[in-house]
Amino acid sequence: MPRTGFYNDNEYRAYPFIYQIPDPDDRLPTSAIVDAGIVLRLSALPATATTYTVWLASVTRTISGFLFTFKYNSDVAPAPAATPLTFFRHDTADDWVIAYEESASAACLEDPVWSGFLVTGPLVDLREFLAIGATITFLPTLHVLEPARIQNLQRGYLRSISIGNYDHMRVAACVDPPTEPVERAIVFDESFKCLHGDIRFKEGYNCRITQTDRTNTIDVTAVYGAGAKPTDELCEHGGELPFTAEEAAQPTTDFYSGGPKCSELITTINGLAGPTVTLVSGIGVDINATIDPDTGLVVPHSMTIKLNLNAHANCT
Amino acid sequence: MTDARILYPQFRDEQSASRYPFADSASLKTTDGALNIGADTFIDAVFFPIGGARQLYIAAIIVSTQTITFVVGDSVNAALISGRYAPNSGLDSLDNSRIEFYDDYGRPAGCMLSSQISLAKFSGLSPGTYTFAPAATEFVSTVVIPANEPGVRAITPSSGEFLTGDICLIGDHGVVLRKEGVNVIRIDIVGVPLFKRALCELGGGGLLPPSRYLKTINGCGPDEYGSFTFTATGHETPGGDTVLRVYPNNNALVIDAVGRGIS
Repeated sequence: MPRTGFYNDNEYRAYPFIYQIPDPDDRLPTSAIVDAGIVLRLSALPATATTYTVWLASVTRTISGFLFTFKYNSDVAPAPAATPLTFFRHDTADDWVIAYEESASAACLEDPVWSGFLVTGPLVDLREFLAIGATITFLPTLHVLEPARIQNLQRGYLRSISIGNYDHMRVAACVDPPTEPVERAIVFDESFKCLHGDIRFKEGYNCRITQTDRTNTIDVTAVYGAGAKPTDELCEHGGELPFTAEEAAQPTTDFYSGGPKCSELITTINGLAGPTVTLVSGIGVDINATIDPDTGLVVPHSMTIKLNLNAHANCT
Repeated sequence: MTDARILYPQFRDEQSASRYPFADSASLKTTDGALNIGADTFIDAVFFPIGGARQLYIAAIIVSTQTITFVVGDSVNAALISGRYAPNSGLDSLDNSRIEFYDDYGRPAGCMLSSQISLAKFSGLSPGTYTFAPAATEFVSTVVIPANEPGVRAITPSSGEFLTGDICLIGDHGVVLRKEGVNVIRIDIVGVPLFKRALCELGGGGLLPPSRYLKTINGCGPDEYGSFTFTATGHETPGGDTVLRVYPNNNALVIDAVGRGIS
C-alpha cells in the first residue's frame, strides 16, 4: 500500500518540534518546517551544561523570502548570550528546500558556534498571516526541537593551542611599606595564538621531552644540560629569556625583568658578607642614627659617623 | 470505524508503538531471556560517541536501588558510553524527557527518549546487571552519527583534567614557552634568575615580594665583584695619615680612631 513520504507526514504534525497541546495564539503552520538538524559545536554550551534545548525563536518575512531564526539555551544560569542561527527560504523556491547554515564563528578560529539544516515545506499558510516586513516571535517553550535532532559536540575535541608565559618577576618600587606581590599577567605571543594542525614540541635549554606512544604520553622534565646546547642567548641577559622575538631587554639594566645585574649589587662590605653587617664604633667614633636638624626626628635608613675626640683623650 | 487510524500521528506517538530506534531484527531480550525491553519503551535516540560508531547496541542495563544505568557499546567496546536516570527524577517534563549519554571522559555522546511510564518497568527489577547480545538491541543506523578521532581530541595533564576546546599552555616558575618556526613550541627551563622565591616558610601559597637589593651607599656602587669598601683616609690629603681606622672584626665592621692620649 503506498504511503506518504516523510516530509509529507511532517507537514501535518509538529515534527521536528516536540508536540504540545496546540496553543490558539500559535499561528506557525506545521507545514512550514518539516525537518531540521542542529550541531552544537565546541563553543556553544558552557562546560558545565548538562541539558539544553533548541527552539524556533522567530520567523521574519522579507521582500524576497522568510528568515527562520533558532536559538538555544542550557541549564547554566545566567545563560551566556547565544549566537542565533538563521535560515533563509526564498519566496519563489520549491517546497522541501534544504538550507544549510552556520552561525558566526567562535573567537579563536573560523569555527561556527553552531550549525544545522532546515527543510521547509509549503509556505502558503505562512504568507497569509505574515506580511512583508513582519516578524513573529515565539517563546522558548513553544517550538522546541526534538532532542534527537541535536548533536552536542561540547568538550568534543581540542581545537587550538595558544602559548603564553607569566610575565617576568619585576623589581618592586622602592617604597615603604613594601608592596605586596601582585598577580602577574600572562604574556601571549600574538603571532603564535590559536595553533592547530600538526604541532610539535621542541626541547629548549635544560629540557627533556619524552614521548611514550604506548601510553599516549608526553613527559616534559627539567634536566640540567639537556635539550638545546647553551648559546650566548642563555647568559647574555642574566639567564632570562625573551618571551617573543620582539621583546627587548630593559635599557637600564639589560634584563628583561628590569632587575639589577650581579655586578650592580653590593654583596660584601670590606669583605664582610651579609645577611647582617654590624658597624661598631671604636674609641673616638660615634655611630648614631641621623637626626634631621630641622625636625629633630630620626631620618630613616641613615646613620651618622663622626669622630668624638673628647672621648679619646683629655686635652689640657 | 474499527479500522480507523490517525493519518498523521505525531512523531512520538508514531514511534512509541514501533521497534524504532532499534533495528527491525532486534529481539530486545537479555541473553538469558529474563528481561524484554519492549518495543514501546524508547521513542527516539541519537548517538555520537567519539571513537566508535559501529553497530551500537545496549550492552547492559545496570539496576541499582537508586539509578538505572544503560550501557551502550559497539562491536569493539561493550562499554563505550552510558546514561542513567533516577526513577524519581521525573523525566516527563518537556525539556527532560531524555536520558543523556556520556563517554568515559564525560563528553556528551547522545541521548535516548522515553517516558517515566515506559521506564517504570525497570524500577521493579531486582538490582543487578542485565546483559544483551549485540543483535538483540542493535540500533538502526540512522540514529548513530559517526564521530571519528582524527588528530588530538584532548590533553590530559597528570593532574587528571580533560582539556578540550581552545587551550593555553602557560610557562611559569622558570619555564619559558616560545615560538620556533611554524607550529613548533620550544620549551626552555631556565629557572627565574632573580627575585622569585616561594613563600614556603610562611605556609606556602604565595610569593615573597621581590628583594630590594643594596645597590649603592651614598651614591657609590660596588666593584665588578659586588664588593664595597670603606677606606679611612686623611681629610685634607687623601692617602695621608689619619687617626681613623676601618677594619673587619668577625662579622662586624669596626670604625675606630687611634692615637696617644695627652695628659
